[in-house]
Amino acid sequence: MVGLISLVIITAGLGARAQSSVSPGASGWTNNAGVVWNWITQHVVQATASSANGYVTGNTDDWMDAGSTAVITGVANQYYVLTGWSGDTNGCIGEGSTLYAPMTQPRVLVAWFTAMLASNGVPVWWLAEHGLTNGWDAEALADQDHDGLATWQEWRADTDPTNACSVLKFSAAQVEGGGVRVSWQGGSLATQYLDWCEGTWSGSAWQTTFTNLPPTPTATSHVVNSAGTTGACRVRAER
Amino acid sequence: MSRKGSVVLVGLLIGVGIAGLGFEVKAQSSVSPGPSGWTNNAGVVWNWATQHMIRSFYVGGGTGSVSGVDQENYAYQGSNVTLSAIANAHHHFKFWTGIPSAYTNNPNPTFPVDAAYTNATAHFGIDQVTITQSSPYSAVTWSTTNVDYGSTDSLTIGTATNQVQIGPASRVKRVGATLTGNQGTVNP
Repeated sequence: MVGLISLVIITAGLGARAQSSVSPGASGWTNNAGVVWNWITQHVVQATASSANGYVTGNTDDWMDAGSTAVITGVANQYYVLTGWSGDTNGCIGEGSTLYAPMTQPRVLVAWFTAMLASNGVPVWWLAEHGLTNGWDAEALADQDHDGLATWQEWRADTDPTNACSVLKFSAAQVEGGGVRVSWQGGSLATQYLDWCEGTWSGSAWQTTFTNLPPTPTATSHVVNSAGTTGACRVRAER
Repeated sequence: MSRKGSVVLVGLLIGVGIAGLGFEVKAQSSVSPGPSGWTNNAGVVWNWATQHMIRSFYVGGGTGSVSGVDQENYAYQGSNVTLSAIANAHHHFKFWTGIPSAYTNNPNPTFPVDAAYTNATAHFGIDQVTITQSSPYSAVTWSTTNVDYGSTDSLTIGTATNQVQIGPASRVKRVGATLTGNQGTVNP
């Protein structure tokens, strides 16, 4: 008997529901009648962020009734902005950082974020990382460490804009064999190009003789085969 | 079977039966001679006709009547009687029992009396209302059922499943039921 009681309790705990039923009014069943089950269509909406530079909130992983509207908001991290949405965006309306998606179909949506940029494409987060927060554009154009390169140039070269010793520059040049070994220093995350031109550098065509792909050592050297001619070298960095 | 008689000659008083033995006591009958008086030996012969009792009953929701019988529900053999079955409101005639089989499905049969029908019974039934259950998705537990008119029974309803996948990321979900045609409530 105890076992039977336990079984009943377990069954109830499994979520057994009362049967559905239809009952007549006070007059009883006096007319032919119909019971029609009603159904609604639902679609899945899934929204994600394209990167860790932001996230999405709202109806990010839900079954939505057809005809309803999914509301998804893209939230950018500090120093980032929401740039747009991709995926099943047909018919969707964006207002600010919020996307209103009519649930006429299943939707997979992706929110895209990008870094806020100061003058010359310097990411604001990078300026903030170096403590340069006194006006983004002004900070990007200044040379706070007085090493001869503006902050935006130091971003391109991946050097420290607050440390005069961290700068993209030649450190040595000496004849070696039939050429010249040139040495330079710089950052590690920028692609470096060593260019050479014969004669004076003014008005001549530069040719890249060496490409230094990141991650690069902070000190690099390379022999330029000058073939006994006079010429000039330059090192560029970009990212 | 019972017999009742009538007199065809008048004038001579004739006793007809003794009460308590299945006979009726009537006013005295008589027989009388013609203008010449009783001039010949004569005979008086009583004539008789056979009658059968027709009695009707009504069960299940109706009434009716019998025509072609006298006040005591007797009809002469060979005569026609007509039965009538009238259903009450929201009822219907079903069949007769206790009458010749050729007439049982006729609510108002006329047939010749060839025997006594003392238990002619008209059977009636209560009208039925039909309740259908349907669903555009998934099978229902029943599609059609009948209940007695005026019944207040609750009916159990249901479908095979609560939701049906109609695409990789689309489905239909059961959200309730609607009753039409009759007052009532649905408890989905």
